[in-house]
Amino acid sequence: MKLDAKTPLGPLPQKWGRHCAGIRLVNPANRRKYEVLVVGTGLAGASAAASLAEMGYGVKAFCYQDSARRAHSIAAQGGINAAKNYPNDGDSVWRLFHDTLKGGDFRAREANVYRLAQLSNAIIDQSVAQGVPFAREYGGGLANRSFGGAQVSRTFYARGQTGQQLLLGAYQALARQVGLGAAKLFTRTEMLDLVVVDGRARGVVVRDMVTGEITAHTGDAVVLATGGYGNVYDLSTNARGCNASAIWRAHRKGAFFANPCYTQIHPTCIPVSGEGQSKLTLMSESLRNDGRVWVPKRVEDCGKSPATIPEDDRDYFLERKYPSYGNLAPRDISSRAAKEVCDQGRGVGPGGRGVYLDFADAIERLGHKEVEGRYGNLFDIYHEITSEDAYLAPMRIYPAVHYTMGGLWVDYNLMSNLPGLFVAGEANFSDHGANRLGASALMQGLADGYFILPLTVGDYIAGLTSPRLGIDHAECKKSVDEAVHRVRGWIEAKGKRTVASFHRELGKKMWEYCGMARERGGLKKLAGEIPVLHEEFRKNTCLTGHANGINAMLEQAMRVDDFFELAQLICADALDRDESCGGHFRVEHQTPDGEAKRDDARFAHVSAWEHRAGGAPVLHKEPLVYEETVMSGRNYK
Amino acid sequence: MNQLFFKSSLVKKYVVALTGVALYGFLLIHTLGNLQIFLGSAAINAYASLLKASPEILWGFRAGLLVMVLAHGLCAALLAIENRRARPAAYERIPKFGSTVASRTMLGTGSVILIFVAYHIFHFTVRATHPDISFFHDSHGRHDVYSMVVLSFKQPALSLFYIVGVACVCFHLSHGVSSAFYSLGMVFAGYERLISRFALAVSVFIFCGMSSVPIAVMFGILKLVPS
Amino acid sequence: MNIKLRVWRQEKPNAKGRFVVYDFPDADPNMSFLEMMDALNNRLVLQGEEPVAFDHDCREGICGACSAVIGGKPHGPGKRITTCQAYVRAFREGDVITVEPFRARAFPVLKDLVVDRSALDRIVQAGGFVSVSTGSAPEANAIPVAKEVSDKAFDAAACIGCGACVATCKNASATLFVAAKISHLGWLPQGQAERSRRALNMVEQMGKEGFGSCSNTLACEAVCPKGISATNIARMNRDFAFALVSRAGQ
Repeated sequence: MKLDAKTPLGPLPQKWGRHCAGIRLVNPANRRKYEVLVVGTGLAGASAAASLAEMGYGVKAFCYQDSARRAHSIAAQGGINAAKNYPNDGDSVWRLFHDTLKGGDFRAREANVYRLAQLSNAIIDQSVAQGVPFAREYGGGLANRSFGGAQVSRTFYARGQTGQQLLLGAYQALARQVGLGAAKLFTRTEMLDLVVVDGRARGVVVRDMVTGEITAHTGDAVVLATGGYGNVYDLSTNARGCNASAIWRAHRKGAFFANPCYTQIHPTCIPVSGEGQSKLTLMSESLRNDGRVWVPKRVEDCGKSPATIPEDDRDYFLERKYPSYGNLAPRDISSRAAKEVCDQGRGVGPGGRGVYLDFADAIERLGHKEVEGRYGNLFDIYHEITSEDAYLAPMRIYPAVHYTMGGLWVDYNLMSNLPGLFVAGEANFSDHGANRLGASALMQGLADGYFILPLTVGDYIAGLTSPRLGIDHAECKKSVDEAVHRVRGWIEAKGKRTVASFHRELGKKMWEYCGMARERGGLKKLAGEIPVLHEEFRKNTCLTGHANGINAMLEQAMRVDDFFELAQLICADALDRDESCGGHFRVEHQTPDGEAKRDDARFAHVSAWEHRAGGAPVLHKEPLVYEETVMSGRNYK
Repeated sequence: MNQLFFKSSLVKKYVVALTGVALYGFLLIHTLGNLQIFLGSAAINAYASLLKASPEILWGFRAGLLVMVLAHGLCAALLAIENRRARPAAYERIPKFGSTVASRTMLGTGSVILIFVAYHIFHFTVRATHPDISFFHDSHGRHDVYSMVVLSFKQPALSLFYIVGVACVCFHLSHGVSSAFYSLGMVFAGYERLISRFALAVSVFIFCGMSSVPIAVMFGILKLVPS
Repeated sequence: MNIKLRVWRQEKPNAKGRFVVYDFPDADPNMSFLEMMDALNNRLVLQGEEPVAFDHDCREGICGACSAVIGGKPHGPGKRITTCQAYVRAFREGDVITVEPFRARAFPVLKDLVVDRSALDRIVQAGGFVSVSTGSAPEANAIPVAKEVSDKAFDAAACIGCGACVATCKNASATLFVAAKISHLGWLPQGQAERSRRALNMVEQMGKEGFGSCSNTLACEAVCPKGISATNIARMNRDFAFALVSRAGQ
């Protein structure tokens, strides 16, 4: 099957405009006859649901949280990029586009990224009009700051809670539509399956997480905006509830999964402190501006208090290995260097998985007050979680899984290969290539939801010829029955281990062999081990409680079950992609100074995987063609 | 509009706050009036007779006070009923973090005040509780309020009752005054502490002013002067 | 650490609940409170018992999902934290910690510690927004907003909608939540057109949902994980009064 990205013709700057001009429209009076199902209410989902409802479509929005406002977009800290060029530092749509494309190591679709940059400004306008309290200058204009991977200041922010404020804007827009009766909201509702008839997405099967009732909802189009799959690693910066089940179930029903191996690791997180840990907390990368990263030179010193280790016995490994960058070496390089010293047994803290980030020099040079002024809130967060005072003893940090660039394959209209199934935000693969730049996730989610889907979903609906499925359609019943059966199977599981113990074990294996650095041998080993563990998981998990009521363990068991299958696909993709690019680092392919080495001749394509029941997944390649840019190396020197 | 007006709990809050402020104003004048007792019997008796000079004004004033007390109490009671209903299942360990005892016991202190004020009216206004000492006249033929007060407060139990009653009023006020600022939307960022201190200060002032009379009598500072 | 949890167990919305005591003879002080609950649930499942239902999600204090009154304070011991930011080390050796759901008529218990807070969503649906449809926004810098004003709007907008204010209020009132939203949008020029409608509609909806009214005890401010100021309540009262008067004048 040939994957058609449906990228419009013409020069980059004109593609989206021309596409919009040619898009089919639905008469305003007819829109209310159609129903769009939106799963997920994060930035992409809430903005899409609100915008479609404003246009007049019937909208049903679903989220597993108890309120649409709690989707994990809320936790995004840094900011959102836009090419407003308010600081007059030479920014433009082209620059934002090029930085994002380059940041993604030339593994994203040129036309999509260009459109993202084009739409970025309207997102800021829309958010401000909704009352998002962005940071401002004294003159009353919007403030900007700089962020990684760019030489201009183009990041709009609302203190350290940009994601929260943007999500509240979208959530309030959705709330308005719910209040007007234009949208219906189903909270505490989890999608268990996609209903596909004649190759088209026609509805979803959901479980009411309070009553346990499993029902089908049919619609004229389905939008999945269900976020990323970082929790396949168990521990990540994601919320505990984040899961891949919606996109995975869609994948099982025929939607292609693109670039699953592209995962982003964030270098400065608070390390794992114990077996029961449930979450890794992100600390701003800005800490590395003044902190010095080190571990003891000798393994036997690792248990000692850092203050007792003399200067000569410390290994400032980033400064040693990368003398020109030192502690500011790029994210992936710093992450891998930390892993390397920990692999040598020189890691510090519980479990030996941590490195020191030491501010002693900075405090001596700048004074306690200045350090507090710059990083006080981060030191407070650190203290809150670890009860350690980073002014007195060095912080311990370790990289953690943060974002997944891969996702369901979509064309230029954000529609998957299954007609009627649209995928937005982190759940799709489209705009970040092999690595996402900071402050781009919020931009993408909102561009998809506010400005792309409302048009492209309409275009699809305008071409519909068959009426909406009744919920008593045989396929709906079949999907519901399957889901009921699946739930029953799990609820009767009376093995000897908890869901959490399996999730932990899967996560550890994934992190070990398919985390920051991947190599063929490890991936092969992993590919052999996951199915075995998955088999044990299915046979030896213990659940209690009922199917018809709140049962978090049951929910988690089904999510982890899907993670097991997804993990195998990630592993297959990582093995197949025999190059290093962005967040996918194959040890076999690196430059002498440890940078990822791309192989554009063999791998300048999107890897879209097709599910085959009972067999190996089938790879489809969508070639990446760069019409107006040159595929340069990712070099930030 | 009408429905919103009468159903809204916020409107009741405004009524409680506005009547509270008015009653507080009355209490302040009452305190200042009382303190004239320290100027001697002539002064307080003259003041008392002045208040009663015009029956129209007197009864108008009294009617106003009554309406305010009724409105204050009624709205507060209605709110309390709504508020009880808002938490049908009680906590086992009631959260008390961050609030003062005064703020949590407004209905209780308010009810005690009602009883106290009723007794106070029967005592000094109607003069029904102690008729033996309440109907003297001074040399100018005016009602001898001075002797009535002094003779009353020479009884330690009665004095104590008044001091406790006044304490209750002031305890009520210590939250009520700052609460009125919030209900009437008169609190601005940065002035919160000033307002709570002001509330405390005016409560303490009224307590000191009011209780100084029975205390002064008990300690013999205010004595009966031979007329 | 040796501690005991007295946890409220309730099977269904209208079922009778009770406290059940669970022992933690060797709790790790560096565990978060919710990780201790995770451990408890894993233990319960292996013993064939039902796990304790509780709400949680982001576990970094921003989504507002976690709840529960822990030892007499919503979100547990500590200032400006959510339940997921409470750590075992905040308790003392030998403590018996009572864990109850948020209790309010408007927050019916669904199971154990899980309550239904959708009433807060319905209050927002009644007016907690700026009616600006996608595409109709003017250029972002067209309307200057003083930094001080924007900062104040942010302070109010930081609310995470957890409901701790309701849980702790002796009247189970959602006034701080409502006031924060009215204030957030009321500060900004973008929110002016609907300022009166918003105040009237949101306050009215709060009453309909069965929340109590405000007694200005300021306990809400003290437990708010995001430190939302009670001055917002005064602002709301002011906006509502103006709205009443202006509506009467129309």
